[in-house]
Amino acid sequence: MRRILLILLLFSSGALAEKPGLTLNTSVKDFVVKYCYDCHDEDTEKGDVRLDNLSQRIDNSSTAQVWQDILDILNVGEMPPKKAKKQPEVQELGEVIGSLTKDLLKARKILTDQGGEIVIRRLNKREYINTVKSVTGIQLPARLVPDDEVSEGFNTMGANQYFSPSLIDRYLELGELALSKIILEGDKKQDKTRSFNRGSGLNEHIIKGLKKSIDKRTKDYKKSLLVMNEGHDYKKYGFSDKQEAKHNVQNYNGITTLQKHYLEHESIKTGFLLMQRAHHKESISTKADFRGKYILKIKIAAEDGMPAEKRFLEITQNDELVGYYHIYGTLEKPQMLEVEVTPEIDVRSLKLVIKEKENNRLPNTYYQGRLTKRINKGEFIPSIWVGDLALEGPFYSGAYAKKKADILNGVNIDKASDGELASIFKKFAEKAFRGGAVSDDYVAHLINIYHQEKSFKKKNLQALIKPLATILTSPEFLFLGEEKGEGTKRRNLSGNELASRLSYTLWKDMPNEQLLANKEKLVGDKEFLKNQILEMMKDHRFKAFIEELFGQWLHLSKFDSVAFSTREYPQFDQGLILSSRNEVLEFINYVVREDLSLSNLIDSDFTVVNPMMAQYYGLPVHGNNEFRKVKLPENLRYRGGLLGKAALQAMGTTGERNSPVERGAYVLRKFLNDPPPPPPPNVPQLDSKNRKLTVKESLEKHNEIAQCRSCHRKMDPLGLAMENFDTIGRWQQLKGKREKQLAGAFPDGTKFNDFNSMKSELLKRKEKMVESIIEALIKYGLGREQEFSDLDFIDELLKVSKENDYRFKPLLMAFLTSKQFTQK
Amino acid sequence: MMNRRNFLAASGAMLVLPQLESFSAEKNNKVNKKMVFLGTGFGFTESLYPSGFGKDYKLSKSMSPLQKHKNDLTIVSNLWHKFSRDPHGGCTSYLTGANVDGTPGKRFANTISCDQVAAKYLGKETRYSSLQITSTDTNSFSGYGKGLSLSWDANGKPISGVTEPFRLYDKLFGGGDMSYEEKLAMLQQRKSILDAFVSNLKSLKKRSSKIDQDKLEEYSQSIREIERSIAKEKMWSNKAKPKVNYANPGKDVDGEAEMKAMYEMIILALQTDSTRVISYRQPIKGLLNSLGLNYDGHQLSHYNGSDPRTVASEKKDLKVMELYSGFIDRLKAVKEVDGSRLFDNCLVSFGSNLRSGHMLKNVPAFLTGNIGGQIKHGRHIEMPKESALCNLWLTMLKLCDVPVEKFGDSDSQIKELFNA
Repeated sequence: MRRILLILLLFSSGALAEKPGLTLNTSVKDFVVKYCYDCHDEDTEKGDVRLDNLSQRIDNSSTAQVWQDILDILNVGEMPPKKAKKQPEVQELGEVIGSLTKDLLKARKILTDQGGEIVIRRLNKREYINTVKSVTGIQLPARLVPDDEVSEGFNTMGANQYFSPSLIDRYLELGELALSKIILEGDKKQDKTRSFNRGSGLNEHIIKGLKKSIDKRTKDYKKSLLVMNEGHDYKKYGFSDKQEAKHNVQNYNGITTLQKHYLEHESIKTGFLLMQRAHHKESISTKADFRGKYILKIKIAAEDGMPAEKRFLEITQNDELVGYYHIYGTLEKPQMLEVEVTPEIDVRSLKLVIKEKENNRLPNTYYQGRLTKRINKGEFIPSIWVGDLALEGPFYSGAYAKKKADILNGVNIDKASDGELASIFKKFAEKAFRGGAVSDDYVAHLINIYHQEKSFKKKNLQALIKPLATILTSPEFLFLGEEKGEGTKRRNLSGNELASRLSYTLWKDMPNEQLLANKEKLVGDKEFLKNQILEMMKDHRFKAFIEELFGQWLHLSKFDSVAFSTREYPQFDQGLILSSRNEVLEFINYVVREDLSLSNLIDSDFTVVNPMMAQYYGLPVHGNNEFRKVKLPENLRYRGGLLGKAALQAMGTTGERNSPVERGAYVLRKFLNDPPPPPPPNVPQLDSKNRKLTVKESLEKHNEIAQCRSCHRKMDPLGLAMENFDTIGRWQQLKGKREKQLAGAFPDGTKFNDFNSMKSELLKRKEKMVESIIEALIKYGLGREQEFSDLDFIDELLKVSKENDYRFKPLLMAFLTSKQFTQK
Repeated sequence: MMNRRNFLAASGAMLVLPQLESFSAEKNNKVNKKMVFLGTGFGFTESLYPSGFGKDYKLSKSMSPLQKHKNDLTIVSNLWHKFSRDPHGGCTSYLTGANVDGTPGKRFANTISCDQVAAKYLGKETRYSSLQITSTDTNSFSGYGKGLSLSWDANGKPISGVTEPFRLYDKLFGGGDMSYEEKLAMLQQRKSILDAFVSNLKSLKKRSSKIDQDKLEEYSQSIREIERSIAKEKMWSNKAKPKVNYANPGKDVDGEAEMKAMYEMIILALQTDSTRVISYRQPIKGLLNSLGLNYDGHQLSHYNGSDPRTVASEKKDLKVMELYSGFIDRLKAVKEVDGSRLFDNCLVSFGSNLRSGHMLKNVPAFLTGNIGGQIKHGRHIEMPKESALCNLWLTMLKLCDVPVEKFGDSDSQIKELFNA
C-alpha cells in the first residue's frame, strides 16, 4: 500500500521525492518572491522572518506551518504592509490565497495519511439502542442514552470518539434499567386487554362545559364592566384585583364568540370538534404497560370547506410527537384512523393527545382575533370532527416472557448453583459480544458481583441484574473488536467480524442468527456474500442505513439547527419542518430501493411526498399519511432532484432570510465535490460600522476583497441561482434585477441562466456528486477519514458506478465486497 | 422546571447559616487557594467589550451587571493563543494553548490544560482533586469545538464533565444516608465490576492491532481513573460528604436555572473544600432556549447583518454577565473558616478562545477573586497585541503557588496585573 502511494506521488509531483508531500503551485512561490523577498530574504530578515529559503515542496509539518502562517497573514491583510510600494491586485491576491488554502488542506491530508488503517470504534447511539434491544428485548428511550459526541465527520468514526469514566457509569445505569425491566417484569402482565371509549358521553360533557363556561364568562363580564366603568369594588365580585376585571372584559368577546360558534355546529350532535380556543384538544389515557401494544382508534372527519392545509391531526404520546395524520374523511363518510403505540419503559401512564395541526408558533390570541373577526362577519369556521375516540390494549405478544426465559437459560434461579449462574452469564455474554471472547476469569468476576448483590440482601432474580449490566458495559460489548493481522499485512475478516461489519453498516444493529449461522460462507463464498447483501438490502432495517449515510452526507443536522422566524414564517410549523425533512430521506430511499440512477438526486421528473408536503407544493393531496411517488407536472418540475426540496433550500438560510453563500457552498460540497475550505480564522465579519449590510451588499463586498474573493467567487453565483426559493423553500417567480441575478457561472467558467440551466449543468457533472457520495460511503462504511491513499479505490468505485448507470445498489455492492471492507 | 422559590430560599439561607465545616481546614483553620475557570464556546457580541483602558474604562451595557464589582474585576485585552485556528471552537485549546493540528502524523493532538496542572498540586487534600462541569449542549450548537469539558488530561485526552445539576449534586453531596460499612461494601462492588471490565479488556486487547490497542487505552484509562477515585473515596469514606442547606435541583433544570444551580454548587464545593480546582464549560444553546431565543449558538455568533440576532445576542450576553455577577456576589457573601470571604482566597477567570464571530485574537479575559490581594483589580489592561493567553494561565498558576515556570507558549507572567 505504502509503495503504491509513493509511486503515485512520484508521478503526480513529477519530481524525485523521497517523502510524500505536495509541491505548491509556482504562482504561489512567484507571489512570495515578488512581494515578500524585499523584506524577508537572507539580507533583510525583517521581524526575524526569512522566506527565501522556504521550500516550495511541503513534505513535513514545519514547512506546512510556515506556509500556513503566510496564508494567515495574507488572510488578515497584514502583509504586504500598506506602505509597501508593490501591492498585489485584488484578483492576484485572491487567487494566491485560494490556491494556497486548497494546497495546504491537501498537504495536511497527505502528511496525515495512515494507509487506510481503521481504528476500532464504539457502538454509536443508534447502534447501542438497537443492540441492547436485540440482546435484552428492551427498547431504551433515546432521551436517556448519551449522544454521539461528533463534532465533524460521521458518527461511525472511531478516531472521533472518546471514552470517559462518566460513560461507564451511564452505560451501567442504562444496562441495569433494561435488565431490571426484562428480568423482573418481562413475564408479567399488568392488565387485561380492554377498550376504553371516550365516545358519546364525552360529547355531552364538552357541550355542558362550554355552556357553563359561556355562562360564567358572561356573568363575570357584566360584573367586570361595573368595576371598570361604574367604580364598583372588585372584591365584591371575588376578583383578585382590578386587573382581573380588565382581563375578563378584554377576553370576553374573543373566547365566547368561539365557544358559541362551536355550539352552532350541526355536527356536534354526532361527535365533538377540535377547534381553537373552544375545545382545541382531547386526550385519552390508560395505565402504561411497556410489554403491550395499544391501538388508538379515531373516527374522524373534516367538515366541508376546511382548508387543505388544516386537514391534519397531531397526535402526541406523553408529550412526544407520534405523527401528523391526514384527515380525508367527510361527515357523510368519516375515516377510521388507527394508530399503534407502545409506551416507553419508564412511564407509568400512557397519555395520548389529539389536536388540530395548528400554527403553534404564534400566540393563541393571534388566531383568536382572526377567527373572531370571521365569525362576526357571519362566516362559518369548519373544524375537525371526531365521532369516536377509543384506545384498545394492551395486546401482548409474549415476546418479553420468551426473552426472559432465554436469558435465564432454563435455570431454576431460586436454587441456582455457581455453575448454573456461569451458564447464564456465559450465554448472555456470548450473544452480547457477537463472537468476542468470554473467558472463565471474566465469568468468575460476574459470579462474584452476583454474590455481592446477594450480600446486600437482594433476591436471586434481582441479584442477576448487576452482573448482566456489567456485560452490557464491557469493552467486548461496547466496541466492535476485530482481530489483528500478522505483521503489517492485511487479512480477511473472520465470519463473525464480517457479519458484524455488514450488520452494523446496513442495519445499525448486531448480526442476527441467520447471518451468524452462515458466517463461514460469508467469507468463503463470494456469490453467497452477494446474495446475502441483497437480502439485507430488502430488510426494513436497511432504511436506517439510508437515513444515516445520506442524512449525514447531506448534513441534515444543519437543517435541524435552523430557527425559522416565527414572525415572518409562522406557517412553517413543526409539522412541515418534520415532513420536509423526511421528504428528503424518503426521496433518496425511493431512488435507492427502486435502484434508479443517482442522477435523480440532481434532477428527477418525480418526487416523493406525503399529503402534507403535497399540499405545501401544490400537488394533488389524497390518501393516508404515507410518502408516495408522484410524477411532477411541468410547472412544478423544479421540485425534482434534491435541490428542489423545501428542506434543502431552507437549510441554506438563516431562518430569517436566504443565504446564497451557504447554498452555493452546499452545491460545491455535495454536487461538485469541491468543498470550500473552512473559513479562515481572524478574518472579521463584514461590517460597515454604522449599519447592517444587505445580502446584496455583502455579496458585492466579497468580490472586492481579495481574501473573500478567493472562495466566494465560486460559492456566491451558485447560491444566487437558487434565489427563487424563499427562506422556507417556497418557489417565487423573480422579476427585473433579481431575475437577472440568477445568471452566473461555475468555477470552471461555464455559464448558466437560472436554476434550471444550472441543474442541467450539474447533471453533466453528475460524476462529481457520485464521487462525493462515494467519499461519504468510505467514511461512513469504514469508519475512518477518507485518505489520500484512497484515490484508487474511489476511482474503482466510480468506474463500477458509471458502468451501472450510476445506480446505488451496484455501487454499494462493490464497496461491501471490496478488500477495503472485507479486510482488516 | 426547578422551583425558583426553593432555589432562592436555599441559596439565601446559606447567607445566614453558620460556617460549614471544611474538611481539611478543620484541623488547622487554614484556608486554601482555589481556582475557577469559566469558559464559553462562541464568544460575545462585539458590543460587550469595554471602552477605554486603565482605571477609568467604561463597562458596556451588556457588562453593566458587573458595575458593582468593577473594583474587583480585571479585564485583560489583546490576549490570544497563537496556534488556534478553529473559528468554531472556543474551548478546545482554551485552557491548553496547544497546537492541536500541528503534531506530525496526527490529525488532532491536545495537551494538558492549566486547571489540571493546578489540580496536581492543589488537589491532594480534597475529596476531588478537581471538578469539571459542562452541560448537555453539543459542540455544534455551542461552539465548544472538540472535547468533553474545558479540561484535558496529561495525555491530552479530553476529561468528561458533569452534564446536569442533579448529577453534580449527587457527586458532591449525595449518598449521605449510607453507613460507613455500606459505603465500603458498595465501593468494593464497584471495584469488582471494574475487575470484570479489566478481565474483558485483556481478552479484547490481546487480539487487537496496535492502533486499536491505542484506542482501547482510553477505556483502560477511564477504568484507572475510576479506580483512583474509588481509592480516594475509600480514604474519605469515614468522612460523610458535607451536608449543605441546598436541595437537589432535580432533573428538569435547563438554561438559566441550570447555570444558577451550577454556579451555586461551585460555591458550595469550594466552601466545603470538596475541591479547589473547578472548570465550567457553560451552555449557550440551553441558555438561549430558556431565554425564549430561538437560535443556536452558531447562528447567533454570526449576528452581523441581522438586527434581531444582534438584539438576541446582546440579550444573551447580558444574561451571561448577570449570572456571572451573581456568582461574584456569592463569592463575596460566603465566609471561610477563618472568617475571610471565599472571594479573598479565589482566583476566577472567565473567557473563551473566540472573541466574536470567527475572531481568535484579543479574546475575552475577565479576572476576579482577591487571592492574597496581589492583583490590582479595577482596571482594563491593554497588553501588546497578540500577547500569549498562556501568560495569563502561568500568572494564575504562580499566584496559587503551583510550582511551574512555563505553561504552553508562555514567555512571562503578566506583570501588568500587579502594578497599578
